[in-house]
Amino acid sequence: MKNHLRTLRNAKAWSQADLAQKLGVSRQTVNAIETERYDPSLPLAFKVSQLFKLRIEDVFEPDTP
Amino acid sequence: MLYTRTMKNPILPEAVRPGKSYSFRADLKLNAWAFVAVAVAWTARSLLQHHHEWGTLLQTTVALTPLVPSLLYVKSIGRWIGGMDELQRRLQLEACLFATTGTVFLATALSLVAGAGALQSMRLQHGLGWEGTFAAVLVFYILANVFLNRRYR
Repeated sequence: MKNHLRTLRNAKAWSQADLAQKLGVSRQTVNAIETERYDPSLPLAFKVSQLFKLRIEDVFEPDTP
Repeated sequence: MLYTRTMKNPILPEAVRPGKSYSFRADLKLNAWAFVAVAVAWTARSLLQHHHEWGTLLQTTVALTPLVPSLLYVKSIGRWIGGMDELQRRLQLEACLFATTGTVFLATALSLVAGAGALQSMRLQHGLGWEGTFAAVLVFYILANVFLNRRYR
């Protein structure tokens, strides 16, 4: 699954550690999501979208076949 | 258990690994029951070696005593993993599964080799024993952690 987390985070001038603290996860988790090695659970994806005041599909988009 | 929940400070596995994030308090909170289990196991073994006159029921009770702190250790591991965020929880559960499966395979392989009469070591002919099992789980767990963390680094 693709995502725009890194772009959104950079726009807010937050570090990965800052974002991790706001989401209540580890920095490794933020990094794994940003590098698209890990797809977050639905509750975490909602939390991310709520944090950036966006719709979930504006942050995450499915892989196109 | 695999899903996220609101956490202020999720538990990090680094807190119990050697390094700058190491916390003695976190290590003690997680592993205290393991030390108790080992101490109880040594004591129980020593008692059983010196008291052959004890009845079967008492011997069985003393032999099984280390299981109590062992179960409490498993509980503290469960709590520790439960306090992690979803990725860390997944990594730790995968590592635990790998460690358990690896140990079962090792024990089965040893049993098959011993059954075939090809095992020279008298000690291993009766299985891994609790020390061997503990060591095998630990080795497989560390190996799994190294590989899994490399995947998500």
